[in-house]
Amino acid sequence: MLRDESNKAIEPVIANPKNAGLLIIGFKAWAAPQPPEGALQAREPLSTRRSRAVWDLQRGRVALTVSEYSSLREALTGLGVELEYNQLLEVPRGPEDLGEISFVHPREAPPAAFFVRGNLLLAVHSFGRESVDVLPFARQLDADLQSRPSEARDGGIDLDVDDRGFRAVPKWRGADGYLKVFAPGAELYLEGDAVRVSAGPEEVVVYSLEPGRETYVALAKRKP
Amino acid sequence: MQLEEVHFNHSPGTATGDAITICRDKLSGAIVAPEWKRSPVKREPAAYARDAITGPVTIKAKFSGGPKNATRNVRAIDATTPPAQKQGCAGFITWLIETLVRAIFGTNSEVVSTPVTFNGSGNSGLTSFQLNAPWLTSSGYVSKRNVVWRWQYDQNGTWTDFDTSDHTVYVSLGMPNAPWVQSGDASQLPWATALDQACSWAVLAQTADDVAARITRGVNQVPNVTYTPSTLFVDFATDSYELQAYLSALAGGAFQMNCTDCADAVTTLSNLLGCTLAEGQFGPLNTKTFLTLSGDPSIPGDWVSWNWGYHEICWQNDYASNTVWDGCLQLDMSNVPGTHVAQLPVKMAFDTVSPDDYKSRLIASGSGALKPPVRRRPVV
Repeated sequence: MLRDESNKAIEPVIANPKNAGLLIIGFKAWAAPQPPEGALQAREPLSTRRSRAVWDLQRGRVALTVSEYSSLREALTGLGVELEYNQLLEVPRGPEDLGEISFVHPREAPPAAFFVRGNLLLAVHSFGRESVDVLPFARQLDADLQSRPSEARDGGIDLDVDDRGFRAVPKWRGADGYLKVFAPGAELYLEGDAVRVSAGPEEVVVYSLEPGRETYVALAKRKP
Repeated sequence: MQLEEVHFNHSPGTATGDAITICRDKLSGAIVAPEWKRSPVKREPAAYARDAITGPVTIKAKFSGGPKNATRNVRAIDATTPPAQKQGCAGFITWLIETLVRAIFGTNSEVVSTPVTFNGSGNSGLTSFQLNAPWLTSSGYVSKRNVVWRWQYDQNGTWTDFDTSDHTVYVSLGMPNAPWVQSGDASQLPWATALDQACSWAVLAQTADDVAARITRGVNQVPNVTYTPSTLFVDFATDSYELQAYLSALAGGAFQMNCTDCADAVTTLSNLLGCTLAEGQFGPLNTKTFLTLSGDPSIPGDWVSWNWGYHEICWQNDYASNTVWDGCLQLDMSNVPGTHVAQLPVKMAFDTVSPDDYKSRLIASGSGALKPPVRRRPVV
């Protein structure tokens, strides 16, 4: 897709994002909370920031590729680059309710959806010879990523707070653990391993999640 | 007496008379000689670049349990048994196949007899031996060999077996070219896992053009791959080629690729064996009908056309060569409406006055303008 065309859609969102107060740190594709119904066939750690999982369904297969950026704005820029590497002259806009912004393959191409949620760029592909509708899984994933855990315990996250933000280190975390940081109305970004809060509320909520483990929560209050 | 070590890449700075520097995969770091060690057990592969060799090829070996303060002639011969001739037509064909397999993938080499000096404890120093191997001469070809040597010493004119060793040896044509390196970033040293795939597709190739053609065909004919317009094996943040993921996908079930993924695979695996390809884009274009990736020419639905913003293919060195390879599709060379003739673009002229050049056969409309620069994406 030509860069100019994708920029027309993406640049207004970069300038005025709906929710820049969500960071998801260390999320792996195979840790999707509600994966497609089927067998996890591949877990590919593409790099420290990128991962891919492939599920074999009863019919067809689905691949999820997750790329982690340091902020929503960078993820949106990454989406532009991903679309530039799409051969199609035009990649249509996806559903309005999917991600900050989304794009989907047109009917004549194998189904695929590309969207940004928080600092994550997510691509869901129908990966096999048989076409699979990828939107139900994409929507479910998007909802899961935005949601706050219904239950979480205190005491599982060490916070090192300074005047610009904090570092959050889970006391117990396996290879598939990840952090979700919520600061509604604020703008969050990563600087190394530190979460920075550029503007907004004095309190930020951090969750430590991992499939099969207890979820922990901590409240980071900005230093005066 | 026993063999303790065998060194193939004993002079890491050169490849004129020994092996090149490789690694197992992106995380392993360089394989450092000895590639074969008795204790602790070490079995690492070695690789040679045929055209870089300018003189005798040597290996180095170390022994223990020899005669104290004495010298002995030591050699190694092919430890495998030649296939036995069988009776009848079927038996002859079986023998022929076994003999061919042995010649292409087997030891087919010897370590020339050399005097080895032992100290007062019966241990030798690292001793240099000449390796005689027809696959390292100018008539050699791309191969992955399972080399098994029977080590012998000379006792009063009689050769006595004392040990065996087994080695995985890759033979490429030229030195690996970019993105591959021979020093510096260890993750960009030739990966043995990539050599496995490249040698499998390009086995028996004797020229760089032959290598590129076979790799292009290999990428195009993977049974479980289908085409998608989106790029799946590039890390966009670093513009790196996710070769490890591609190799994993080849070993798994169905997966998808686009033109950039195919161009990366062809360039990276061909250059690993000594080619000098680079990936370059052109566009926009509305295509004529072509045979899709991994398509079957006899299935009408596999003949497709697309409206593309760009297409990415492999070029000899850069755009100036006007010579291309494309693993993503097969052109339709038919001039008769309603019929198709599939041709894989291999060492094809890109843009000439001929109606049979690549551009004429692919582009129905659109500028198809070149989009510099060409790339050789680093591997991850």
